[in-house]
Amino acid sequence: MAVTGRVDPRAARARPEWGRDAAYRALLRHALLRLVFLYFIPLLLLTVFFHVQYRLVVRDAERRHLQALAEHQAAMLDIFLGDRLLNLTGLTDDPGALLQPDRADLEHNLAQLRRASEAFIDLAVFDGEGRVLAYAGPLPELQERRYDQEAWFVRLREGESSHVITDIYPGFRSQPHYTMAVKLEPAGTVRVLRAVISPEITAAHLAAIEAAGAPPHPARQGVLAGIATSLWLTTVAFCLLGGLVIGLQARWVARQQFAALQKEQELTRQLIHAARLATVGELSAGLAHEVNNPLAVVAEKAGLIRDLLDPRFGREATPAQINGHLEAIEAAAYRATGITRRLLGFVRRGEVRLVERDPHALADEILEGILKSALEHAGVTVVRDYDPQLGAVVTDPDQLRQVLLNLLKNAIDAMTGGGVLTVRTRRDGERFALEVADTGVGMTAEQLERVFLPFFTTKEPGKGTGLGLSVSYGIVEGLGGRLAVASSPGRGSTFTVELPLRR
Amino acid sequence: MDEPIRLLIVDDEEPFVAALQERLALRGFAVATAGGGAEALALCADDRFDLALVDLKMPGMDGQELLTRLKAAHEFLEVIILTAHGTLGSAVECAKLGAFGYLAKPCEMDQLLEVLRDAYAQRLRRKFAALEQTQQRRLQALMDAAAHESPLGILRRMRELDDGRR
Repeated sequence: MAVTGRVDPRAARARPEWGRDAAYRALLRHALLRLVFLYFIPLLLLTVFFHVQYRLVVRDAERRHLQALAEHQAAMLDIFLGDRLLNLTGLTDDPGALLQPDRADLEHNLAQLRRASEAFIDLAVFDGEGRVLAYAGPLPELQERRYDQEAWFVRLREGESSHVITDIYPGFRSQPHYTMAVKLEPAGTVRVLRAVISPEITAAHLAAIEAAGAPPHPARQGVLAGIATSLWLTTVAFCLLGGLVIGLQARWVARQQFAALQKEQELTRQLIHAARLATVGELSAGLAHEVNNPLAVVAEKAGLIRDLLDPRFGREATPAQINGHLEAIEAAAYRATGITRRLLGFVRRGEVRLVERDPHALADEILEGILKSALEHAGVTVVRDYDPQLGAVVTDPDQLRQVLLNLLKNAIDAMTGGGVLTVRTRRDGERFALEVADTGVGMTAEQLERVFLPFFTTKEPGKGTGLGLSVSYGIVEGLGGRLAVASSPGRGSTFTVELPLRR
Repeated sequence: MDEPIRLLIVDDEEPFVAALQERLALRGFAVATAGGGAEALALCADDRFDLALVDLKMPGMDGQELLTRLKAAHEFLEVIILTAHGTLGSAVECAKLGAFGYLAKPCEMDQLLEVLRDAYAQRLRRKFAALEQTQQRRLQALMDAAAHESPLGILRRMRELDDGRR
């Protein structure tokens, strides 16, 4: 789309072709990535953190609950076993009967105990050496055992306490059980009355109590699992919502940036055009000369013809003479037209357009056109050192022409007393270089440092805007190249434009 | 016009110079042309022009430099600038350097003739004024001498004045 005239920025904004523009999509992608990075990742981290925290709290609660339960059950067990001990000690109203215990009595006693609690399994009486004196219960073969090495027996014999209740252990019967024993000393003889209590029945008993009044365990009712599930659901929903918000935000941000980018591009275009106009302004004095000179020729030749035809002067002009003067008038007119056309061609403002163009032709066009008279008047000799390997390149000829014109014009301005202007090209792989070297005044290190800054100029006030090189720099960068400079005071400057062959 | 005005046109625009030369010759001027500053200076060497019509923008020596050098070498030569890219700044500059006129190309013949005649009149006036001033000075010197010196001294003084004028 080659557009002449100004592009109205409002029109550009009114018809945004967001979706189809690659630059817009790149911006959207960037905005999305940035927002995901900024919002989503912290959100996810927080979610994970809270989830972990929650699990820890739940586990702690569970542990406390279990602890409370265990303590509760321990207390219950204590109460239960205390009751059983009371049952047992209640049998020994007459310790003397234990001196010569008899099995029938013991059976009777066991039956009595079992009436108090089903947990009693058997009952036995031991002498001081751990021998069974009498036994009532389901395992009479245990009577042959000696119990003097059993831990509970040792504790009872040697300990202060007159009774002992063990933990659950397998013992001689190889079945888990509690042992409960009471030490008695009727008539100075040691007798031990022992009962075995079934842990199963104890546990059933405790379970019955618990079922009646203890708090239920939450894990058992699926409460925790439910909370975890809803937590995950909430997290997923939250992430989806966050994703939606991020998507919308990214779109908004990308649109804003795209609009800003378009505005910036428009401003850059305007700046480039302004610099081009300024260059033309600087050239216009020379160009006025260029146009006025042929006009003066036209005027004088026309006047001369009139004089020749004027009887007052009495000159007999032949048609051939007059024809010769008319030809000179025509030549001058076409010369003037050529100059204005070149000038308009340079000022024409258009979109960036990439076409194949021979850079040598471009340079020659400037050297032999717009700058021809400037070169002659400054007494500058042009040396062309073109690389024959370098053919047509793909670039924006209008912009490259603007850059070249600037560099060439600067070179001429730097050589007021005449000199040699060298235009050199060089192909370098997939790139090419265009060098403009002068033998002019050159620049100091300080000037060189600021040479590409806007509004920096070494020319007299009114002679230069200081925009040419800075805009040229921007143009060359925009075309994917580099603009470099080397200079030494008094010896001249060399500007090198380096561009890709294909853009 | 008894004696033709002697004019030198200095311009690098060949068809223009040729046409102007012919037209001014038809109007009674004795016209010579030069394509550049160096040539113009060489032609002027023996003071044979009354006026010079000089272009500003020329290869080699430009019009302003030529103007400066012509005015320095030839006291009574009037220089008129005729340029295709006239600016106010350069007009002021040229006036300071002693140009009689400053004309823009293309220039109408009547206007050019008027300026050329004015310039010639100016040249004559300045020449006469200078001559008169010299004679005045001579007379004064003789009067002074007559008051103080012997007849022989007066004669010697007259010879001195004549030598000085030459």
